[in-house]
Amino acid sequence: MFKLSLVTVLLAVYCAGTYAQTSGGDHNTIQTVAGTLSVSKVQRVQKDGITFNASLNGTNFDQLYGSHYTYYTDADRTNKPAARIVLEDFIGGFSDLPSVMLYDFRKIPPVALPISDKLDIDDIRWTDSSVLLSADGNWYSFSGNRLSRVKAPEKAGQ
Amino acid sequence: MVSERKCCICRIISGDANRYLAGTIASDDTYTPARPGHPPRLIARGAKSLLTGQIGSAAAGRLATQNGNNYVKAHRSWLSSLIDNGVNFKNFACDPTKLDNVRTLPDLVTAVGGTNPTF
Repeated sequence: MFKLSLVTVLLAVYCAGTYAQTSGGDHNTIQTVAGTLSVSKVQRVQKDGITFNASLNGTNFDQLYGSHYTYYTDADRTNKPAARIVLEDFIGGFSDLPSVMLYDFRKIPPVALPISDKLDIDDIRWTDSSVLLSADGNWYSFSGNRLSRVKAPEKAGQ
Repeated sequence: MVSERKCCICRIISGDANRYLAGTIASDDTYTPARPGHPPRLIARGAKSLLTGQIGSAAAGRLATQNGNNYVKAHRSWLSSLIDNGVNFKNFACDPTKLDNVRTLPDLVTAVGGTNPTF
């Protein structure tokens, strides 16, 4: 019983702050603190190259240009609406580095901020003032529209 | 981890392939126009970035110079020669004599309805 409890505690500690990546489908709906974000694939790609339209409460919010996209929200494992989303727009296809951006729905009006087009993100941690991104064994902090390299966060309390 | 320098085949079968076939790869990177709350963001890598990512900035610069300072032309000619010289299906055939010669990449682009820009 003690072993089981120990394993449970360890799992809780090591899983804390880990946020799963979600692959976007042809139509995705994400509840955010600013309303409903809908990301829909365009029926036929026009000359402008737009592949997905993102709308917030039915109003145009952003466009994606890649063949597919993935995203992380800061509301994983909770039923709360997302306040922030990091979205990877694979503009070069499956084998190229994505264009990464942050949707911040805490701002009024919400903003879409480019983070980088040189990161292949494999993990994310959130703090109130920044988002920590792991790529290629390094950690970066995106805060105040600036990306900077930082030390790896400690596993507990992330 | 996806490395910055990837094999050209990966590039070809990636999303850049559509733009390559359509002949719409621009020289420079393309960004969204700035609007409030939406700063410009990269939406398509240009020939200069694609070529530099493959062979480095010095070699890319040399190729561009050889192609009249035209990165689009340099990228297309580099990719064509790499594919045409590096991918030989006859190497994989049981009896290579029974295979026709494979068409060059520009010919294949034309055959599938793509566009080869004229320079």
